[in-house]
Amino acid sequence: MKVHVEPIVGRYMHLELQGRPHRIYFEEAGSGIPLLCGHTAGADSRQFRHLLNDEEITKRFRVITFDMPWHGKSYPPQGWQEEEYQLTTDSYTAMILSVAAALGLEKPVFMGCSIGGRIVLNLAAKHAESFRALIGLQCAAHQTPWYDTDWLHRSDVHGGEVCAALISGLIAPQSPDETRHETLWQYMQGGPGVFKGDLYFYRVDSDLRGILSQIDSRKCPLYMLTGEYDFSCTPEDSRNTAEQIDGVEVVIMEHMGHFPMSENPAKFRQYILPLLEKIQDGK
Amino acid sequence: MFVKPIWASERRSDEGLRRAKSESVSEYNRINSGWITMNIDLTAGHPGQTSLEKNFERLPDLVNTNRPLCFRGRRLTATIRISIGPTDYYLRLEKGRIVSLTKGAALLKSWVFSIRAGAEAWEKHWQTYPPPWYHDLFAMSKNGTAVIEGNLTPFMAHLQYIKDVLAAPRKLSALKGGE
Repeated sequence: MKVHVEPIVGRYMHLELQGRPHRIYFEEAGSGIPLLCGHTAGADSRQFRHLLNDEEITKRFRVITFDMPWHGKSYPPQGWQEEEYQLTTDSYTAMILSVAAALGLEKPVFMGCSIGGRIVLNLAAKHAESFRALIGLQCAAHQTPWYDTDWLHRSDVHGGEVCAALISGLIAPQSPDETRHETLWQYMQGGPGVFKGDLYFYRVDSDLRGILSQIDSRKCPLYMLTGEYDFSCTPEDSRNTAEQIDGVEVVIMEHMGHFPMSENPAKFRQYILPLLEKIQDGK
Repeated sequence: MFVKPIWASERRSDEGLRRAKSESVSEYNRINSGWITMNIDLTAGHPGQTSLEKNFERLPDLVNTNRPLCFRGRRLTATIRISIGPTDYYLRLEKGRIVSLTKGAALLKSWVFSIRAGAEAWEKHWQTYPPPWYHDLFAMSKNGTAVIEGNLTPFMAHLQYIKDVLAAPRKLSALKGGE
């Protein structure tokens, strides 16, 4: 029987985050410029599996992605059962910087989606010197809440099913069935309250409109890409953010929703390859 | 490896079919209780009926012949109200199947939850590839073209099922080679 084994390697690192020991799962493939990828709220690093398997990218970039604590194969810290998970701007920023440092990444590119797209703006404003470039997918400094997040964590509604059903509308109708349902499966597998806890950062703790003037895209190039079907972080939200930052433009991805790398990897490739080439050439 | 279709346990036996025929259920449920193949006459209708209403009134066919969808809704039994502009419809769902679809305002008719949108919004929602802001009930709710109200617990507990039931007329656009 012929078996195809992917070039992705998965390992665990032990490091301290917020003064507590954590065991973090990460995957990587390729060599070259480090490209660290951050998944969306309530999901995990599987969202980047197509990028990690793309030779056009991995021959020039060392692509790395990790499961945030409480997500995927990274456990919550010890004692989690006694607490409510809430991601904050500070803890999220420190997590990304700590993971990059733990892996010894020299000025990596960071690409994040949704909450990962939001945190890119904080990294750009406060830690530009630590990154070669920043890519915000579905990136905006602020969004208008569109539902009550209490629905995401209740005993009378199945958490996995409701989380997936809620975000299903953020996937573009043109996205292939296989990758649409893979994206939904990631949400169906989230731990109780984890999606909601991530959205604490997104909804409550990260109105970043006030720091946009601190971003200097000449220090660290910032790129923004947003799917036209995303009604959570809308193209208008991204444009409003970009208008406040000198030298930054938003690329609106046609027939794409909130999860570009996961919901339609072939289409996303058309947008990300030229951008990565630009970063490689230092433009 | 043999993988049993998820709806297999729900498939009615001949005995079940005979029993269903004797039950006081709607014509739709009786006809569809054996999981018949969908055979929709796109030209059928009645005078005064808009094409949008005509498509919507095919909903029992579209849903009841979709076995995985009915399976996902098997825990839901409720009457819900769907409004297309000024026209109200009452959908009676029993264990994930539509047993009746009643058109027109009914005095003191109770419903568990309701979704209202204008004809233009539903028309866009039912295109094969709806435009942004019309491709999802929550997108329509966020942009103000749809209103979701009532007891939202059964709605949220069956959210993907409800979304898929109400998106089912898209199949008619696809059959017609529509947008």
